[in-house]
Formats: sequence, C-alpha cells, structure tokens
Amino acid sequence: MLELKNIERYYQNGATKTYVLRYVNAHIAEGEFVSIMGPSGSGKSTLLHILGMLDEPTEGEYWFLGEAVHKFNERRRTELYQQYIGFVFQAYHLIDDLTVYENLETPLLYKKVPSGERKSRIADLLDRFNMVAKKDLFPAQLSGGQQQLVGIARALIGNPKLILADEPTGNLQSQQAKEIMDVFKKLNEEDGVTIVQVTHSDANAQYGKRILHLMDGRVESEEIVKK
Amino acid sequence: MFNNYLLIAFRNLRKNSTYSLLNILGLGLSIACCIIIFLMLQYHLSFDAYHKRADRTVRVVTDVHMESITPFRGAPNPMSKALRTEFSFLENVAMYATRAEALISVPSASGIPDKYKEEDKFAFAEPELFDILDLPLLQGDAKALREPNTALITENLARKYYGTIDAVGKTFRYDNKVDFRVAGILRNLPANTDYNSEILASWASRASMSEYSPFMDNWGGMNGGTYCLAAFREGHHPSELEAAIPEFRKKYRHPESEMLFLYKPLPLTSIHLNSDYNTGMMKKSYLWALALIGVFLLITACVNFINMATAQALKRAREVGVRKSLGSTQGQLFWQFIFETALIVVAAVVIGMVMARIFLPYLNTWTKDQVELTGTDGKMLAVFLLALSVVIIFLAGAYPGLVQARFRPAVSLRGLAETKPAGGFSLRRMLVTTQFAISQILIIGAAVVTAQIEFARNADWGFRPGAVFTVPVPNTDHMKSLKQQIASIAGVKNVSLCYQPPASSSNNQNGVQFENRSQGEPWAVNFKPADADYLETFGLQLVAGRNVMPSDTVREYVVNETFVKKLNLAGPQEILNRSVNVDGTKGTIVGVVRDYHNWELSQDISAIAFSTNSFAYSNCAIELMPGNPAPVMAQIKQVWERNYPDYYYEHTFMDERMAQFLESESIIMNLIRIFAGIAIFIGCLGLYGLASFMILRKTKEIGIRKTLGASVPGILWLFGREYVRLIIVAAVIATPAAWWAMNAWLQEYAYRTTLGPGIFVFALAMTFVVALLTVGIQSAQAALANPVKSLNRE
Ligand SMILES: Nc1ncnc2c1ncn2[C@@H]1O[C@H](COP(=O)(O)OP(=O)(O)OP(=O)(O)O)[C@@H](O)[C@H]1O
Ligand SMILES: [Mg+2]
Repeated sequence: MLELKNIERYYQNGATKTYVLRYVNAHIAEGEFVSIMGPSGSGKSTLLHILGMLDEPTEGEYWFLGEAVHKFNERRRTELYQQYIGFVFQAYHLIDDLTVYENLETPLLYKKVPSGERKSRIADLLDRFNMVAKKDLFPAQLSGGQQQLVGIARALIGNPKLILADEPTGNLQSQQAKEIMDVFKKLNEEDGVTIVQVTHSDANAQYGKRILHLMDGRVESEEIVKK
Repeated sequence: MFNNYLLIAFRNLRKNSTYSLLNILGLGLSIACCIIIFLMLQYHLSFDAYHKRADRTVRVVTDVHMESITPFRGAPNPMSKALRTEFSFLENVAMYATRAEALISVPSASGIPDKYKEEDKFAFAEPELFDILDLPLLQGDAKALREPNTALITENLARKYYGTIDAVGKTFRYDNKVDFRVAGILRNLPANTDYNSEILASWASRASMSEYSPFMDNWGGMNGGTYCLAAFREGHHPSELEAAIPEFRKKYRHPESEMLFLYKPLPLTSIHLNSDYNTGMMKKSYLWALALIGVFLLITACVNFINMATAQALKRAREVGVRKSLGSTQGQLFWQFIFETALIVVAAVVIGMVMARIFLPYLNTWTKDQVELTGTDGKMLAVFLLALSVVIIFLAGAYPGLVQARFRPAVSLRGLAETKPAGGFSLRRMLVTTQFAISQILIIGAAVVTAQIEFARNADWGFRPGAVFTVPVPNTDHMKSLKQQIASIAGVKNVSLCYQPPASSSNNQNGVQFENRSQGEPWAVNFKPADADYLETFGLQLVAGRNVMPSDTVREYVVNETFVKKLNLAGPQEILNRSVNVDGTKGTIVGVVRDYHNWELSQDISAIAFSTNSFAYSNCAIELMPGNPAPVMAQIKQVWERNYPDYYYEHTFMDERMAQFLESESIIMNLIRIFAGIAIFIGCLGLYGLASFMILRKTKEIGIRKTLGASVPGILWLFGREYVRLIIVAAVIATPAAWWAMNAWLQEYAYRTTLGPGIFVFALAMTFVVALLTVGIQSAQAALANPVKSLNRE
C-alpha cells in the first residue's frame, strides 16, 4: 500500500543539519498491522507524520497506492488524505473550542457526509467508546485518557483505510488500552484496515504482525511477531 | 461546515471577551468615523455637481492684481451683459447677487406686517440663471424675473411667510423699501449647492433701486456676493473665454483707473472647495486631512486586528494543524479565517452605522452642514461600506488565512510557526511601529493645529476689539440723530457711523490712482467709509498726520502703513497732503494709521483708505465707558427702536465678530483634532490588548525568571526595551513626515505659528506616555506578581 524509499528528514539549524530520519526504507502492504518502536527522540512521530502526509521528507520518495506523494501538491495530498487516512496524535490535539461531539463531527464535515449519516456514525462511536455522557463537554473538561479516546474515535469516524496512531494508548489504563487494541485488531482483521502504530509497550506491539525498530532515525531492525 | 466555523468564532470571541470587545468597539468606532468622514467628503465634493449643465458652467471670478494677486470671488455688475454681447460661445450668462441680512415684511391680516430677518436667503438674479442652474419651479414662471419687483421663493419660505405653497401673486417688502410680487414657487433647494438663496428677486428691481442703480454699469469695483455665472454652449470650453479676456478687459474697464482686474472662468464644481473664491469653511486641505485621518483610523483598526490574530497565532496554528489532519484543505481554512473575521467586521460595521447615525446630527448642528446618513447618493455609501468591509476582512483575515493555513501540519502542531523569527523585523513589530508612527503623526498634527488656533486667538489684531459693539443703520435718514442721541447717553464713550468695522468679511476693493501718475496703481485699496470718530472709537493709532475733518462726502483720506509701503514712499510723512483718487473720487491724504489685520489672519494686510462718506454708512459703532454695560445698552436699544420702528434691533460685539472670524476655521480644526484623538485612542486600545495578551503568555517566563533571581526592574526592562526601540524607529519615520505635512499646511496662513522642536519632543513624550499607560502598567503588575501564582496559572 505504501512504500518509503531513502526517506530523510533533517532540521536546518544555522549551518548544521540535524538529521531526524536517515535512509528510511519501508514497505507496508494493504491490510498489514505494523508497530514502530524505539527510544524517545528516535524519530517515530516524525516518520508517522510523513506517512500521514502531515510533514514532508527533505529527501526521498513516498509512494502511496502506486502514486508519488512526494510530487503531489497540497491539494492532491489533502484529497488522498481525506479519502484514506485517520490519524491519532500522541498529544491528542483536539480542537479546544469544540465539544466532543463537534470534534468528532469535523472530519465528516470536511468529507461532506450528509447530516443524518453523521449523526448515526457519531452516536455509534460515542457508544462504542462509552462517551455518550461526555458528548457536550469541551476537551479541557476531560481527563487525559478521555481526550485520547476522543482522539482515537475521531480518527476512526471517517472509516479510513489506513490508521496511523502515535502512542494511542499512552495515557490509558491497561484495561482500556486492551480494549482499544482489540478495536484496532478487529478493524484490521475484519475490515482489512491497514494500521501503523507507534508504541512503547511490547504488549501492544504484539497485536501487530510486524515491528519496525527505529534508532537515531534509522530503521535498525525488523521483527515479525510470532503468534 | 459554516455552523462549525460559527461556533469556533463565537467561542473564541467569548473566551477573549474583553479583548474582542475592545477590538470590535474600536473597529466600530473607527468605521463610524470613516462613515462620517466619507459622507463629509462626498457632501463637500458633490457641491453643485447635480446641475444638468454643471460640466460646462463656470463662475467668472476676479483676481485683483497688486504686487501680488488677491483672489476675489465676485465680478462687477455689468459683467453678464458684456459677456452676453461679446461671446457667442456662451449659451447663457446670469448675475446672481446675494444680500445678507435681508429684512422681509409680509402683509398680515392684522395690518401689522410680519417681519423676518433672513440672514442669507436673499439674492437678486437674472432670469437666465434658470437656464444655467437646475432650479425647478413648482408654480409660476421664471420669465417673470424679467420684470422689476418680481421674486421667486421656495416652498419652505412660501409656507413660512404665507402658510401655503400657493403663494403666487402674494407680496412682501424688502428692507422696508421695495415691494415684490411672488411670481413663482421654487422647489426646495438641495443642501449641496452654494447658490442657496431662497428668495430670488429680479435683477431688474436691483437696477431700479437707488443704492444700486449708479453702480449697475460700474467696472471699477465689486461686491463679494455678486457672482457671474456662465454656461458654455455644448462643445465649447472655458479656455476660449480665458483666451478672449485680455481683449475683453481693454474694452470693458473703469474709465478713470487702470485697476487690474483679471477675470477668470472657474468650473462651477471646483469652487466649493476653493478657499480663495468661496466663503464656506471647507477647504481642500481640510478634506485631505480628514481623508488621511480616515485612512489612519482604518490602518489602526486593521493593525489591532492583525495583532489580535498574530497574538493568537500559536493556538490557531495548532488548530490549523489539527484541521488539516482531519481532512481540511488550505482553501477551507482560508475561508474559515475570512469568515471569522467577516463576522467581527460585520458586527463592527453595524455598530459603526449606529454610532454614525447618533453622531451625525450633532456634527451637522456644529458644522452647519447638512450631511445625511444616506449621503448625497445612498448607493455610494453602500458601495463604500462594502469595499471597506472587504478590505478590512482581507487585511485582517489574511495573516491567519494565508500564512498560517500554508504551514505544514507537523510544523504548526509543534507550534513552531509562531516562535520562528520571520526575519529581523517581525510582522508584529512592523505593525506596532506603524501604529506608533501614526499616533505620533496625529499627535504632532493635532498639536500644530492647536498651536495655530491659539496663535490666531491671541494674535494682536492691531486695534481694540473689546468693549466696542455695532448696531445696524438701516437707512441714512435718521442716522445723524441716532448718533447724537446715543452719544448723549451716559456711559457711552464714543460713537461712530461707518460702513463696516476695521476687520470685516464685507469689503470693498477699489482701484486707486496716486497724485498725477498717469496710470492707476496695480493694486486695490480696501475702502472703508467712516466718520471722523472712527479712529477714536476703534482705537486705531495714527502714526503720522491727523484724523479726517467731519464731512458727509469724500474730501480727505486716512490710509494705513501698507498703503504707504505699496506706493514705495520712504515713510508715512511723505504721503501727507498728497492727493489720491479712490474708485474715481479724489481727496487729500491727511493721516496714516498703524497697520492692523483687516482680514482673517490667513491673509495679508491690505492697503486701506478711510474717508467720510455718509451715503455708505450701514453701521453705528459704540464704545462704552468701563462699568456695567446692561443699563446703557438697554437705553441704546430704546433710542434705536424709536428711530427705526420698522426694523430689527441687533448688536454685535467686536470680540464676537473676531470670534466669528475664527469660528469656522476652528470648527474644522476641532473636528480634525477630535478624529485624530479617536485614532490615537483606538491605537491605544489595540496596544493595550496586545500587551495584555503578550504578558499573559509571558507570565510563566516571568515567574521562572523571578525564581531564578531576576529583579523587577530587570523584568520591566525585558518588556520595555522592545517598545522603546519601536517607538524610536516610529519617531524616525513620523517626525519628518509630520514636519513636512504640517509645514505645508501652515503655509496657507500669512500669520502662522512657528514649528519648533518642542512640538516634536512633545509628540515623542506623548507616545511614551501612551506606551507607559498601555504596556507599562500591565508589565509592572506582571513583574510584581508572586512568582508561584504566575507559575500555577499556566
Ligand atoms: N523543529 C525541530 N527542530 C529540530 N529538531 C526537531 C524539531 N522537531 C523535532 N526535532 C527532533 O527530532 C527528533 C525526533 O522527534 P520525534 O518527535 O519524531 O521523536 P519520537 O521518536 O516521536 O520521540 P517520543 O518517543 O519522545 O515521542 C527529536 O530529537 C527532536 O528533538
Ligand atoms: Mg513521538
């Protein structure tokens, strides 16, 4: 489904370049469930942002369903993104001025989903995540874990073909984390949704089929999860 | 989608409610000012443009040639007749002579006529006027103006005098002398015309009135209120008339003097703002000043807006990033920001309209204009407001809409968009500097205007304006006895019969010929008929010779120092006992008075000649003894009314007259000062809001610095340093600009205040005060706050 060729990402700081990603090559097939692991600062989030077209590599090629994303303009990228991708942020990134319900509704508005369908999809997800009572609260009125749940729900609401999740369960208690991972697993197995997650937890990584180990911006090793 | 935007917009406003409110009210106020300024501009630019033939109509004005040229707004009485016979390219020519303070008596059922004093509603006009200006008639016929003793009046006056507009055939008496028959009713005149007399009496009647008839064919003098209007035939151009005027002047001139009257056709629509030829108070330079202030107001309000947007940039950047990650396109983000700004701007426009509506009537009573909210053309205001809104929306919405929406989401999510320094001089610094510069320019402008008003008010007019007042002399029959009776009242010190007081807006400009010089002098003299008590009454000082001897006709002249200078004589003694011919009347010069200001201070002192000429007297000037004036004035009134039972008694103190002289100017100048003050105030609002925003953001930093041992002054300097630098950069820009502009403005005044460095230092100091009030106090509060508290707030 997506392919990275020699991806590099550096930050120019005066005359010196600080590399965050170097020579990253990866291939992720449709229907795969991949975990990315690595120490803090190794470039996991950066890599996920690039996969999610939220950031651009400074060098290298990014192919998505056979199309050259690195050559796309902003508009084409947004189109592709809207059609396929749901993103879960490490720092939740909910819109402060919108309620839980409205936060969930926003991606559907951008996708121009009719209002009846919007309502039913949101109701469905709120139900699934046990958040019905919170739907009219603002993000600031939620706990960190609850915010993360909303963030995940928001990524799922557009029925994406590819879910990119940056430590989706970082702030959740283990039971909740397990439930989320089950949701992901179910989506992956039953609906064929491709999932790429960043995680620090070995337990979570076991849900995937493959683990990419990142170290100082390089893919150090790849590991197939044995069931 | 718009619901979503609307929600965000409203919640954003609510969250920063004080700041938002300041911004919306500030913008509303500046829009109100812009609307008013726009309407004033439109009003004053539309004068007499509505006439069908406006584009090919001119007024023939006269430049009186001296060493310098003095513009004069009128033309000699026989002008229209001469132009009509000479030039076939003129379609129509007409004279139009206004008469101030007309006394109108309307017969009433009771037998005692109703009396109305019409300050400036009466004019004599030739019937051709109706084929030049658009003066639609409701009833009757303009051709009736060919006959003597006919007049046309407006609907308004018909109602006022006769209680009905069916007034054709009714009569009134003018100045207790001449009877007029109403031959037609004019539709009410629009506000934007300078030809606004509501009684048009036939020119033929003027010719038959004894005080005018001798001058109807006189080319040697003219009256300021006597205009000559001419419409060109289609396809012909004023330059043709200009080219023909030298020949024309040779043919039509006063036989005895070669007074240089340079006639000049001025486009009808250009006259209103031409302060040389129009008596109105609006000048082009004032309109420019107002327009400039309007632009400044807008810039200030927009800067406030952009500052608000950039101050919120960090938060908005995150929202931009998130929204993009939720599938928003750049275009959608752009329109979201634009929509959000539009909401605020529309609210501000509504507030502005309401404010303008509330302010306009006050403004109108104050400036005596009739500016209406609908404008002279309602559509224009709508277009203006629409354009204004669009400009503000895009200026203010463009930063977040264009700049922020373009960032890559990964960048904006990290909040780097904000911390990244955009070149050495960031957008916000530039904006704040602009605002400081505008404030300084306006402060300097207002200070110079104030200095000039004070200068004019305290100026030495060269004569005693205080305890002297004038009462009118309606006709010459009883004036001698009036003078005697008033002089005999205890408490009256001096009484003088005269044409006008020493400084007056009614002036005669006449040709002058000195001794046996074969040619007249190339300059005009301001001839002031007055009796022998004039100098004493007004405290004019003789520097040479003596006063004139009492007489009823012109025999001796007293002149002023300028007169002597213009003749190139060595000194005042030189001129004594030499003869002079003023406007065809010979006399001997017996005295010279010290120069004084005979016009507004904006003009040079003219050559003046005083002489006895009882035929021309129209005022009685009275100087009182020190003491309680009330009983004396009551007696004077009694005496006057006994002599003139058919007239209105009225007195005008000289200092009131002086004040009136200054009034119209000071109204506009005050208006400019008020608008400038508002602009500065709005700038302050914005700075205050910006500072509060910045300080809120830096609260944590302040807290940390304090825990690390920073001192309060050190922290204050942290904020202050930045602003001091910006203010100084602003001063470097503002000072030369303001100096240049105000210097150019002052050039219009012959007597003007000087532009010292004091004003510029003052403006700079004021800017520091402004910064101190808006930024300093808040920073001090933040710096003094308990560090633990400020850290917890984050
Ligand atoms: N704007 C920037 N300028 C310079 N360096 C940056 C910038 N943004 C990120 N980095 C660096 O890039 C590196 C990788 O960051 P990234 O967020 O991808 O790490 P991560 O692997 O997700 O770490 P964590 O597990 O803590 O989330 C870090 O060392 C960070 O300092
Ligand atoms: Mg990370």
